[in-house]
Amino acid sequence: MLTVGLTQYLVLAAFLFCCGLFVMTTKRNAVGILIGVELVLNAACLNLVAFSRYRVGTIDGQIATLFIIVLAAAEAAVAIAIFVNYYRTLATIDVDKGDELRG
Amino acid sequence: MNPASLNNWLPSADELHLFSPELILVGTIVAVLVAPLLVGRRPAVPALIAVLGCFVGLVATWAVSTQIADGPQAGMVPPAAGATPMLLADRFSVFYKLLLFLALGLITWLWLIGAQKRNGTNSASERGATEFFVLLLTSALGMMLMVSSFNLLVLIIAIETASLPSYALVASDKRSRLGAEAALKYVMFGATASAIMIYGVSLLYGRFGTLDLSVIASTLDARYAELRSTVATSAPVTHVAVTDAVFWLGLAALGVGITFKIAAVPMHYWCPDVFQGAPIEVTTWLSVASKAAGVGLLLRIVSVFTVTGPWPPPNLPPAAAGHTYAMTVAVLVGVLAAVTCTVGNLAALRQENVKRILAYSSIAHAGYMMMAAAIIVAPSAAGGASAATYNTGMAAVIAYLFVYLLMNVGAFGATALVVWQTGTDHLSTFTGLGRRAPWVALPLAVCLFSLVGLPPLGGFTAKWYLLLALGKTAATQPWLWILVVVAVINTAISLYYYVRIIRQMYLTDDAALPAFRPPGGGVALVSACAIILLLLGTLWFGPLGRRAQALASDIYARPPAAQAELSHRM
Amino acid sequence: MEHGNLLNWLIFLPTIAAVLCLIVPSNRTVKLIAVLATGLTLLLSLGLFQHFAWWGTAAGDVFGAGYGQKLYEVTKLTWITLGEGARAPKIEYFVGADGLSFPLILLTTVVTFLACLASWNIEHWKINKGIRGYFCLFLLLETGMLGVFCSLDFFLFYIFWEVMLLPMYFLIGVWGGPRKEYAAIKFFIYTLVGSVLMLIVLLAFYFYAPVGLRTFSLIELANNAAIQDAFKAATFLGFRFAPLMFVLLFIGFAIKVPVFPFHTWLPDAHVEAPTPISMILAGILLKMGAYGLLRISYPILPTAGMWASYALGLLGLVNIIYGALCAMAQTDFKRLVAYSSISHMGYVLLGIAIMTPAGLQGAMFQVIAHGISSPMCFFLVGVIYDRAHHREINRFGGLWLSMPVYGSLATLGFFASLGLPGLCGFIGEFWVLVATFSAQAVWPWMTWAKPFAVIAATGVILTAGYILWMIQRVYLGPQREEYKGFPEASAREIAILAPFAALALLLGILPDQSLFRFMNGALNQIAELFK
Repeated sequence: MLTVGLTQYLVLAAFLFCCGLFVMTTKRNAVGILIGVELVLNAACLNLVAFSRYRVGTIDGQIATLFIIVLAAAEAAVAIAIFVNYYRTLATIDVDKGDELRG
Repeated sequence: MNPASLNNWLPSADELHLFSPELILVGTIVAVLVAPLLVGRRPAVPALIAVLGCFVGLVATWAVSTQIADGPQAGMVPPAAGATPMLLADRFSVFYKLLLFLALGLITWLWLIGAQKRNGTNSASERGATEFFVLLLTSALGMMLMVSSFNLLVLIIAIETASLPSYALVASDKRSRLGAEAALKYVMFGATASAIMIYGVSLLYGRFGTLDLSVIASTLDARYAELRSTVATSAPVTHVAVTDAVFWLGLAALGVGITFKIAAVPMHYWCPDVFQGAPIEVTTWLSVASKAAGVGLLLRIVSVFTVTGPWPPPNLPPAAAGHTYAMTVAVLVGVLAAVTCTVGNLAALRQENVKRILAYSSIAHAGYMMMAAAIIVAPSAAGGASAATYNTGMAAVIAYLFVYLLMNVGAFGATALVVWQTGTDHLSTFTGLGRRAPWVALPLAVCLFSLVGLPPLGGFTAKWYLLLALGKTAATQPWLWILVVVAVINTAISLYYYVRIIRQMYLTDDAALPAFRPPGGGVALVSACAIILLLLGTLWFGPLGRRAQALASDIYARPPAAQAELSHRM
Repeated sequence: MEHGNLLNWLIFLPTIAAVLCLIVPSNRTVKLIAVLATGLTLLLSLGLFQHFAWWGTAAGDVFGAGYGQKLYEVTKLTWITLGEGARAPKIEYFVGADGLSFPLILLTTVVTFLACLASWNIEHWKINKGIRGYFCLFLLLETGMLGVFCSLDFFLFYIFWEVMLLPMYFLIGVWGGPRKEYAAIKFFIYTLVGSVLMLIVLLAFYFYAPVGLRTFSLIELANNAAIQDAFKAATFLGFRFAPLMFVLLFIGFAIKVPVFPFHTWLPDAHVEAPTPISMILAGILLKMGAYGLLRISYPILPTAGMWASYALGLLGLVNIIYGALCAMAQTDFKRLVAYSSISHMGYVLLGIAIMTPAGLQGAMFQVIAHGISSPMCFFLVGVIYDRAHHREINRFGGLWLSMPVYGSLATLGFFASLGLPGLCGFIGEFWVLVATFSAQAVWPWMTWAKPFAVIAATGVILTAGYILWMIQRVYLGPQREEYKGFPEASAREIAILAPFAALALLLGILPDQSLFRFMNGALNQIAELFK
């Protein structure tokens, strides 16, 4: 019988975090990067809930998670608005294609 | 305390009064949003509302500063055991509120001049006036919360409140290709940094079991006190360091978010691109307010994570002191500061675009300010705000930020006047400016020399207090002299690229370029900055330092509620 | 300490005039204001003679019992208080004159006034724009220079030292020759590097003094035994404090002097700068390096001075020989004079390095002598450049025939620079050589002094070589066709050259009555600190 405890949650969160980091650093598509960001945020949420449940005993962490979910949604909204704006001027959302600002 | 009353708890009038500046800002945002419905979409209306809001906000901040004269006050504490304050009103945050309102007023002024200048050519920016001011005021609100929060959750919300509107502001000129690209880079970098930071916060939550910074500080204090009492003078020092990976990972991830806000190494890559691509009012706002708030946040965090009892530790050998986590944090911040200002200055040397030069210059200045965050001093034992124990580093940063605001608004404002006239922001657009628009060129030259840090200008005053703070603390931590050396050598390096702009204005000329008449309001803005800088370097040299000391005097003091809480836990 | 306001007027009169220059309507009024202001400053500075002319009184009455015991025209105001309480350390507006600064203040006012006269024909320059700006910066420059020589607070000294940079940058950069931008930025960066090193020392002097004694007063830093002991014992980032600080300060001052490896800005700046600015550069700015060594480095860090004396003496020698050899190789007239400055300043460094009273006297005399002869030489070059519009030595010839008065004054000026007995250059060089030769009598360990004196003496021969050769090529020989119609020096030009010539003669014939007696007392007191 496998017991699921704090360690398992933390390992899962760390795994998610690494996946997110990998996606953020390798994807060139802006939406792909945004997905990576969401993965990392979810890892953080998982951490918070797990710590809150197993370690701390108050609901601080879970409340924080709710806030972070809202923040993630807001962030995605702003990011996608900016992607649309970018797409309208450059007809692509490949972040490497934006190379007019350099030096 | 019975649970029923806890459920019905709402902040008292006193508590709300403490945070009246923020509330006024919220009211202003609502007013800006509602105004078009009542009076139609006239571009001057939101600007006027914003200016009015700033003025009322300044008055309210002034009122708050008298209320907290005896020491910081905590707000938003539910009357329950274990509850800790979410927000804090102390002199440090009051200073930031004043600074942000001032910056907000100056940016609005600049925007009005720009709107006048662009009248007819770009009606898009006028139609976007409401959106522009809503975003600007919202990011200001976020920045105010950033420096007054004492809770990691509020901190995250504040950072996001400051960042999200900033991303959109960069793209506020919807027809600009560069703006679109800059906004994309900014949002990608920002989202990544804040995600990593939030993950770090979750780790710190796990490590300390709380999101409250004052509780984390007291935990660290307790651990430190325990070590001090057990470790004998000659004992091995291996156990002094905090060696848990969760703590350091969490702190490092938090650092990623903060360095992003400050645009410090290693999270500085976005800065030049965004500064170049954004409309120049937004660039000015980001370079001043966003950076200032980031530095304020860093100082808050460092004040929590470094100061633990008397410093240097009385019964530890100096070598052992170097192994405490406080020292490690300080050295890390110091190294980052040194690298940041060197990288900023070296990269600026080969730029051809004025906005990029100023962007790298702002990175370098962030480096100077971060140096002050590497200073650890002992807080007063009782936590009271006695004048003898103010943190010289914090005072130096406060003085620096004030001067930096004037220098940057002056430099960007003058650049804006030229860019709006000529339509390009390449260095060559400044050719012969000394002849073409002498009353823009002269204040710009003053601001640039001030950015170098040449006396008798405010930039030197700021740098002097910073070096003085480093030198003072170097008596116990000699490694800070290295930062002094790095800072002064960087001053010499930075001269070259600032002088390139001045050279372009005064030493080169092209008779084909016509003289032009800059708008009077713009000249007044940049001249005011230049004159105040000159005064700060001469007559107001001492007063600036004294005022900054007063404002920094209670950074370590905990509000009464929090202190009661601490003693309860310990 | 005798309080007085004279120095305040000296320092800020030019600033007031600079502001006036900005607001008066016509360019001609601007010029008039500038000349009047510099002239008035000169007259005011003569007022200092009331304290130092001491025929009939004992040296002790004039110079006091020890270094910094007797200062004249002192103003001491608290500017910035650091910390709390009545005994908190202060940064002061602390100015005063003693025997060390008195001759330099006078030199500054004289050279600035004459350089201002030399700017009178600015309308005829190739770049004649912004006359208002030129004189405004010129006057601000005078404020900076006088401020440096009058400050007795290290912080104030530093401020004035930097304040001087900005006008100089623009004066070279806007009104200079073809490569002015390069020359101006090179000057600016070199000097700023030196001064930021000084800023480190400024902070270190403050923080390494024992708590309670911390001060920026240059007099206090040198005289307070507790501070001196603390400096001797301290270490700075693992290095011994005093030598390290001495080296940092020395680099700052050496750039100004300029000493051999740091000298490369000087020929560029001199060649590109307009004539009056070259006069000020050579006549006053170079002297600040030497003044800084005598006012700050040696009195405060005497032991480090001992430690470094061999190296400094060697650098002085290198300056003498290298500067002379370079001067010999030049074909550009102004470059030649610039390199001769490097050579002459070598004697100053050598005289200071041996740390004997005679050495300091010789060095200071050479400072003043060079401050008279080199602006004169630069103006002489400027006069023919105005007429010929080139400075190629080999293209001149027989100028004496077309311009006899100018030719005579030129010969006198260059002979003063060469060190002909009877003229000012001779006394300074001779005094330094004699002092170096006999330095072992004071410091028995200075075994290298005698050989150094011998080698330095060969520099005199090299100097004679390049100057005589130059005079031969430019002034003597057959008259060239294209220079036949050159007008004789104008009344204004003679009015500028004559005071220089008179001073060169006066200092050469009556060295004691005209200079030594005003400063020797103070220099001997500095030498006392080395014991």
